[in-house]
Amino acid sequence: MGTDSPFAQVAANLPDYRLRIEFWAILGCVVLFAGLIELVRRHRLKERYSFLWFLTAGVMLIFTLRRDWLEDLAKMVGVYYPPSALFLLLVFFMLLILIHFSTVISRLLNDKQSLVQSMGLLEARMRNLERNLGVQANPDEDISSSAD
Amino acid sequence: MISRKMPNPLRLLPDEAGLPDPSFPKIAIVIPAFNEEKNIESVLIEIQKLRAQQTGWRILPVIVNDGSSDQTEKVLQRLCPIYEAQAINLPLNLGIGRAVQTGFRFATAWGADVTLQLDGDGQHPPEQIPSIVEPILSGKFDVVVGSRYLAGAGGNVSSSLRQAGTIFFSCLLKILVGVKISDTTSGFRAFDRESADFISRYYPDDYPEVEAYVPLVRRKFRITEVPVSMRVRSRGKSSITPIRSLYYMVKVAFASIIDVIRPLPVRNKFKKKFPIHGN
Repeated sequence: MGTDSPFAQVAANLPDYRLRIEFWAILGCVVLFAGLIELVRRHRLKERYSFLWFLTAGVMLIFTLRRDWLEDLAKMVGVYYPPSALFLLLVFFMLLILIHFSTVISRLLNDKQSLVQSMGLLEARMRNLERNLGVQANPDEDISSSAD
Repeated sequence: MISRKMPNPLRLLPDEAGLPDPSFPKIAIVIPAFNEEKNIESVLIEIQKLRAQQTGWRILPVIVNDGSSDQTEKVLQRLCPIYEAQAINLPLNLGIGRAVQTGFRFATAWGADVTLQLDGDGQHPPEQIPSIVEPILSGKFDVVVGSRYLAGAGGNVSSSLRQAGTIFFSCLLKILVGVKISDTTSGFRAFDRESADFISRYYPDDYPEVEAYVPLVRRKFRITEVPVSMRVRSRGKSSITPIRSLYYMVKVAFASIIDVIRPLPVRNKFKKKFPIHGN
């Protein structure tokens, strides 16, 4: 890294090599927290789907701040380089989130299929009702409004 | 083309079937029902008794069948014509918040002057309805909550765990928006037209009791509590199990805090119909 690059200048102002990764990890966690809160605030993310993200960000933040805990964890699972344990942890939580979302998508698909069935049945009932009432429906109307 | 020939669905309501003076207040009772096939008729019978007492009210029970897996839909089909009630069958289970909101949307479209929630499991006694409706009809308040913990309320029927949660949320609401609610988990609440319209556009989806207060206070609705006595559930289990309590506490507390800084929909104005007796 050249001394005149902006990254090097920022890095030179940080006291210790070990602190640098902590600085960026903490910044990342804080940005993640702020972003999540803003998404929930604007109804772009429902609370119930934000908790796993908050948990992930929280655990990452704790292990970044408490390097001795990270070292203990690394020793426990047999990882020689402690920051790798952080990645291991991150992968674990990513998997958890992905599995959670897979279950959510499955439920949504189920709901959608059942909803479409209900709508089809409802339309059949409505058509029958219209026929029995002697109302002549325009056959083009509903098709044109629902098709793209 | 069809719309001109088809009658307005709301005109088919029992409301139009030669009931008294149209200036009488319209009271919509929203009853969320999830697998309540055994409880629903006794609730409707009690509402029938209330109708006999309150002859000046036009009462419409709106039962929202929240995707029940039992015979609730069939039972409702049989009962609704008998008890002049309106059933809304949701094809999927949406949860209590969205089910209640569906009922509120219907009540708002019907033009209800007071919309209240009554649980389909028999916990909320319909004979207590006048005590939560009167403060709205007198024009003093917009939202009235039936509380088990106020002086004058009958026997307290909730568990100690629920009571602890209620106190926690009571403090939280006091800190967040400065509103004093003693029975924060009570779903026995009445809303005037403006607040019902607001609720029909903005309501939390899964645990709505506590969360609804922050937006209501922020939109300057006048909230009060009246003492009511509730009963122990006659059948079925409470939807809040101890296992879910922790998640419930965290979720509701978090959502309430976020609600303080959330963008909210506007409050629509309606012409004031009450107080009607000039008081």
